[in-house]
Parts: sequence; structure tokens; C-alpha cells
Amino acid sequence: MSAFVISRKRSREGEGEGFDHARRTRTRPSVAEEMMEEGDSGDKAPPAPTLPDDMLLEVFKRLPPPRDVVRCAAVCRRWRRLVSGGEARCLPPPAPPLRLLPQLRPVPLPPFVPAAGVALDLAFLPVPPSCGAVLVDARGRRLLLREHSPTDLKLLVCSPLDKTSLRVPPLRIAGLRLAMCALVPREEPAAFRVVVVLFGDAPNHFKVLVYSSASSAWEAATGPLGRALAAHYGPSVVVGDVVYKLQSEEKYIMAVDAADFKLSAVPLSEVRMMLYAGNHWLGKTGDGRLCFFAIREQLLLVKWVLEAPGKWAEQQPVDLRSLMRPELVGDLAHMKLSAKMGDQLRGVQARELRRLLRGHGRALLRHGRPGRGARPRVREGWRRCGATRTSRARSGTCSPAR
Amino acid sequence: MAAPESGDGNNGAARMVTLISSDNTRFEVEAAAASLSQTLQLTILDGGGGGGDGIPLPNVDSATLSKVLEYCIKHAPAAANGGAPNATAVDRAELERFDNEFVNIDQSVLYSLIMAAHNLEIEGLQSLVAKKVADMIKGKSPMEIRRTLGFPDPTPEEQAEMNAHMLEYGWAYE
Repeated sequence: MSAFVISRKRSREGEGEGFDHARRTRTRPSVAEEMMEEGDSGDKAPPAPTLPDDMLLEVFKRLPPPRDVVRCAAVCRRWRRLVSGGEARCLPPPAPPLRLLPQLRPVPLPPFVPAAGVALDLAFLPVPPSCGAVLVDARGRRLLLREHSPTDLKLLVCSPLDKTSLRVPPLRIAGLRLAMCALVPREEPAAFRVVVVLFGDAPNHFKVLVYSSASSAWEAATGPLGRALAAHYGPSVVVGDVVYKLQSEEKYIMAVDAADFKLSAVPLSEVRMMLYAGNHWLGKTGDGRLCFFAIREQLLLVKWVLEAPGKWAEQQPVDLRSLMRPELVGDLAHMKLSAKMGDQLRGVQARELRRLLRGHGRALLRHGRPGRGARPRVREGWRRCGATRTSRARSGTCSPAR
Repeated sequence: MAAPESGDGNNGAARMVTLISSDNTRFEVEAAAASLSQTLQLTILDGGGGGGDGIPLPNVDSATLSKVLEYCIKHAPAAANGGAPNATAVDRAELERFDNEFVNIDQSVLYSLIMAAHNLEIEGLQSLVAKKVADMIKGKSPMEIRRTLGFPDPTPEEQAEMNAHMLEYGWAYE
């Protein structure tokens, strides 16, 4: 019974805006029909734009999400408002990460989740609900999930759009510190790499492990670190084959080349401010150069673009308050901004920064000062897991490390 | 008179109600069938629509109403059974076949059907027509959707917004 009350209320709400729209479209169909007759199809096409809101929502609900729903959002303003607006509450809500433990670390926003109204059903994952998994990385339309295990690194690569998943052979990491775990998309859409960096095997040594979907096996390289380093969690960004990860307290950016197994460090720019978790990020420009962002007092976003190895160029700062429009970041009136700033800004970053940063200078391919914490290419020191099935199986069960 | 709820398998005369379309055509149907409409249900429970007066439906023309009632009559027995328990697989397959056939209609008829289903709040019919529209949209680009559904050609401004959206969600268009 109550369901009907709700639906009636909804349709009444819609009327206010519907009138205007109906009036506007009613003058046009004759033109449209004439054009249709001249045009390709002979379909009679009565004006669907005047369908009531809740009927349209019923239609959207029946589309396979998210692709078709997103396309609907492009059709016209009213549809966009329905797909992403507050009334989309009657669409299935984006599935809460039921089986995923709460995300405690800053991870990049999954790039494929539209504003609202799309169910991201992860029920296809072969993760037992009792164990759960943590979202570690998201890139190139894939999620990298880590299943709970104290001794092993059990990774799962899943593609929520295709509803497929792949279990990567687990790595034994007891006694080691996980410094990076990232997903690197390849040129061809079906291929990807998983890059893992571990610290502390031998004193001050690192390991770079790369799982490639092409060979279905881990490959590894190891080398000495310049000094003892702590493993931090932080945001990462992928430019070509290189994964950059923020090591905030160390004031440098770790760079790992997944093709060359090379670990290097990119020193941060002179930021002249306090950095703490959540007030600075990594990013890249549209043409693939590394960027670093930090938020100064009064919500001033400062950004630097790495123009050449070691050379950060500070850009014109952006006053974020001008971007904090409710349609972008939600209603801020009722929340304490300082506590929510990180979350809010991630939303801002995803939508606006790309536009702001587009079109600056040359591409960055080389990086880092080689002396600091970096030794290139020591491939043989650590036993490699080759491309054969047997070695894969071995690395699958336990670590070849000890 | 007949008991308000005559249950299943009754052999007495089922209660009839009269519905009057916008063009003043009178339709006499079983109350059970008309009650699939949430809008009509309350009126019918209150005893309206019987005898000579009838229930006027100013939003629905006779062609559409006859179509709607065809649906209601077909679905009334299943709805009375509460859907599942007694229905055999054959019954359900038959209903499904009927539904598929039922929405295989001209677009203009489909739209009047949508409006009628919405106004009369017939849940099953609403989801049936919504499904049909979803099928028409599925896999199409925004421009194709506009054409299919008879939107006017986009203004340059609308076109720009469309392009911006497609740029932002490029993955949805591959």
C-alpha cells in the first residue's frame, strides 16, 4: 500500500517541472515528425519526452547497468536529471560494497561509476562473504581486490562491467612490508598487469613483482634500497608502464616501471606546507605528465606538473570554494568541511581537474634522480618465476622467496 | 448482493463494474479485473462503478482502455491466486506469450498504453511497457534513442551537452 502512496507522491513532484517541458515539446513534434518522414526510418515517433518521471525510471531500472543507463543520461537534460538526480533513489542504489571491508585508505575513485543510480553488483565475485576483500586499486575498468590473509597476498582482479574475475596466484608476504600494489592497464583492453612492491626481504632490499595477464605468471626483480624505508599507503597513478605512488611522509614519489622492473624515486616539489594524509594527491595531465596536488589553507588547491626529471612547475592555484557547487560535491552546508574535505575533493578532482590540467607542455617519460633509493634492474638476484606452468604453480602455493 | 470478496472458483455471477472512457464508451468488466488498477481498486472497494453510474476515466480513450482491459482480464485470475502457488508452468508460459504479443504494437499505441498504465497504476502493465521501452533503447546511442523515441532534433546547446557527457563517460560508448 505504502508503495503506491510513494509513487503517487513522486509523480506529483515531477509535474512542476513537467509542465514547462511538456509545453516546450508540444510545439515541436510536428517538425520532428516531418523530419522523421524525410529521414531514415518510417517509424511513427510520438513524443516520448513527456513520459512521466516514474515511468522513465521504471524504464531505466530495466536497462542493463551501467552502460545503457549512462547513455540514457546523455539523451537530454531531463533524463540526465532522472538518472543522476535525487529521484534516482528508486533506482537500485549503487550496491554498497557488501563483501568489501570499509575502505580505510585513500584509493583513487573507480573511474567507471557514474554519479548515481547504477547498481554495481559484485555478487559474481568468488569471495566468501565471511572473509571479505579490500579494494586496493581501480583502473582501466578493473578492480584490484585483496582477500584477507595475514601471510599471503591474495589478489583478485575483477571487471564489474563484464562480471568476470581472475584470481592472481597468491604471494607469500609474511615478514615483508607491502609498499605498493597497483593495477596497470595495457594498450589492448583485455590485458593488464599487477605490480607489487615489497620491502624488507633482505635488509634494505626491495622486490618488484609483476603479474602479467599475457603470461599468467609473476615475474620478479630485486635490488637494494638506498636507505631503510617504511611502507606507506597512498594514492597512485599510472602513466604508461610506470606506476607512481605517493610516499607522503618520505616526501618522495615512488616510481615503478612495470616493463623494466625499475624502482626509482621522484622527489616532491617544494611544497612549503604541512602534508598529511588526505591533503595531497597524485594525478596526471591529459597528455600523461605526473601532477602533484596539495590543499593549502582556505581550500586553495595548488598543483605542480613534472615538466622534466626533477623539475616541478607550479601552476596557477585554484580556489576550490568556487568548485564546491552542490551539484558537484553535494550539500556542504550541513557538514564540517575539514573532516569531509578529502572525500569531497576526490569528487571534485575526478570531474574538474582533468579539465583544468589539460594541455600543458611535454610528456614525462623519464623520472627520478637515480641516486636516491633506486637501483635499476637487478633481475636475477631474486629467483624469477618464469612463464611456465610449473613455476607458476610453485609460486601459486607458496613463496619462492625463502 | 454478492459478497465483496467472492474468492476463487465461484460459480455465481462475478461482480461487474462499468468504466467510461474519455470518448464516452462504456466498458463492463469484472471487478476483479478492474481492481488490478490501484486507482480503481479503492473506488471499487467502496462499491462504486456498479449499476448505472460507472466510473469515468477522462484520461483514457476507448481504444486504449479496451487494450488495457484485455490485459487486466488476462491477468486477473493469476493476480487473484496471488501469482505463484497455483499457477502451473504452462499458465505462466501462456501469460508470458500473451505479454510479448501484447506489447508488440505501434509506438503511438504503446505510449497511450504507458500513460494509461501510469494513470490507472496497473503495476504489472507498467513494468511490461517499461520493459518494452527498455528493449527499444537497449544498446542504442543517445542520438539513436532520441530518434527512436521521437525527440525533436537537439539544439546546438543540447548537442554540446550530449557530446560533453559522452566524452566524460567514453567507456559507455565503446
